[in-house]
Amino acid sequence: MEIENIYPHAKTGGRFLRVLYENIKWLLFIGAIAAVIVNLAVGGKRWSYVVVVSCVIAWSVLYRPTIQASIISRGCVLASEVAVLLAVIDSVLAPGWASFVIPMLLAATLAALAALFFADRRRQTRNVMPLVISLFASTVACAIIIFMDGGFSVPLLVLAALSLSLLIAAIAALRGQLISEAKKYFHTK
Amino acid sequence: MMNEKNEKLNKYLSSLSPEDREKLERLMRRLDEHLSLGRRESAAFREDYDRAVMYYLVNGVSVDEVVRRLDPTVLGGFYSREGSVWYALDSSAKIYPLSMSMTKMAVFRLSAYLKADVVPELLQIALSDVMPRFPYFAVTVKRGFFWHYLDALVTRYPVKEEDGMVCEPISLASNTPALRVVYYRSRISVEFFHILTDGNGGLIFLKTLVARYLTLLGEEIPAEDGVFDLGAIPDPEEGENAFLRYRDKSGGGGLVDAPARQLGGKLSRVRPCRIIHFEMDSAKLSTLAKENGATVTELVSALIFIASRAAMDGGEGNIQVQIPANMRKHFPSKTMRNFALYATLRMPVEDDYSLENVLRNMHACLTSGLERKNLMKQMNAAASLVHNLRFVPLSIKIPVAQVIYGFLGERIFTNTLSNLGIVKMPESMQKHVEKFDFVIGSVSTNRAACGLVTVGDKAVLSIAKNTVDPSFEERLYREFTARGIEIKLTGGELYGD
Repeated sequence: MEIENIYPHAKTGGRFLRVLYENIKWLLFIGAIAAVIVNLAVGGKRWSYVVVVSCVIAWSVLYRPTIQASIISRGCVLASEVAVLLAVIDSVLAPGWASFVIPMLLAATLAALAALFFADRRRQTRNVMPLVISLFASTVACAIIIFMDGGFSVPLLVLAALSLSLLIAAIAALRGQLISEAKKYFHTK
Repeated sequence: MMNEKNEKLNKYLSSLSPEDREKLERLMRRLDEHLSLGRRESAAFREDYDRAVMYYLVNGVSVDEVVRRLDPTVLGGFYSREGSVWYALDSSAKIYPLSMSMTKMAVFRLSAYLKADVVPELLQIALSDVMPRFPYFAVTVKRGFFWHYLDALVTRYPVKEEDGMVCEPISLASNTPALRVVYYRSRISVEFFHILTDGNGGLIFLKTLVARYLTLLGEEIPAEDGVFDLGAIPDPEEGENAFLRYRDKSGGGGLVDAPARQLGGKLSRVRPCRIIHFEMDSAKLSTLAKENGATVTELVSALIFIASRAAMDGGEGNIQVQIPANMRKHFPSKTMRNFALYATLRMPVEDDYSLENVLRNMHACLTSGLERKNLMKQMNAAASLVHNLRFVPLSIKIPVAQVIYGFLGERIFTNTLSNLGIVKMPESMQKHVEKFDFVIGSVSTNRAACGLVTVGDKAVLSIAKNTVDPSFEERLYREFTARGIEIKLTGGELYGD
């Protein structure tokens, strides 16, 4: 069958990279399983938790479909994933520092993302829900830790104050727009 | 390059009379009144108009005519307002963002082949003019907490020269359209993420785009036969989820089926790895169908069955071909969103694959599959699935849907045949159009998917291949030619590995 070519030559990317990309997920999966098995066999600290969480984060970064992957939404997701990883490292390998480091990391990230939002409000208003939810979740989490769990540290207080004030600022700045964004975000139609 | 173009334009402008220059400046000022985009986008918009003006002037079009053709009134307030509309996904579109990955996305392409090479300057203007008439396509996909949704996207929709794979995934990263318009030589193609629309909605968009393009070239194209009037206000029904209007409580079913046998051949990493078009005489095809007491869809699907059987080893199981059904024929709706379900044609692999027997089977399957009550069952099943999952967060739905879709979604079919039928268009437009084609893009399991569309005397069957193994298309070619149907073969190069 002779086929007359009516399409331009397309760049399909390198074969090596394509194969690598398709197989990294299996490497991550096998790596996570292997780490758990070796850790159980060898005993000692549960370092395999760190490997498993790292593999999940790598999978999420590499394979999560890039729908609405604005800097704000990516930043929120990545910051929360890194916070979980740090918490796991703290609890299984080297305890004692996460209650300082995680609030500082989250506060810095939320401040940076909020700055981006307020600097480019016209374009970013329609990407604001991940930020608002992160601010709300962070405020609630801080309140629970401080009031119910009795946890208290300066970075945690800073994070709580920052989250709450940014949340109030976002609500005050957006008002009706925030309600319509929330309607879309939480729709069940 | 840019400066060179500006210099050329300035040269032409300086050769005009002061009155003509003033007319063009007024045109640009009027354009500015219709734009309230970002600085970069507004500049790109103005540049589009500059290029179009230059094209016209170089080709001897009078300034008055340039001003008439490029009248920005057609843009209305679309590019000067903050987009506020949004759309929940229709019932059949909900699966697409759940099951997609970075490399796999349900994209289909509709192309119009004109009798002369495309003028990109005018195609860009045509696209900008047409988008306001299709607000439900002028959107970006966003992630909600329970479901994805389509959010208005007021931006300049770019036209690009084709340089990528057919139906390659569309980037939806951040405020990006869910469709792509490309051109190559005399071909204008629109690629849609299936989340937006089905083949019928896509066809109306393409016809309207081509009609506008031809109007900019000086043709008078009436708004009829599926060409939308750009001045009309979009009917709210065009953006409706028609599944919700017609569902009832009579019970559902028909979404789940046993896995089908797949064609032989290793799945290619690049999908589709090859596009092949069978260009046929529509009258001969129709006559052959009538001679066999069948419709064109029945005949072509029967030949696909025969070719599919030849392209796989023996054994057990069914060959199952999905035939999308345009629900608008059974349930009147003006919706431009997805409103298609499907009938499944099936035959055991070990059955008798003579044309007569296959046709008998096809006729029985299609008649029962396209019965209103069976379509209603599918529609109810889709609507109730969506209803039952409405409070499950997306972060749970996505991994579950990926597993279910991976195992069931496409595995229940061997192949697809989507026949858009005979495309009607105004006569003044038809004389500029050579043919259309319809390519159904990436699927993860099926080795081939077929789209058929007829314009005038040309029926084009397009096969999107996902395996290097050529046995399916070779056998299909043989089956057509053995019955007196001459075929002109066109397509793309093979990207298999």
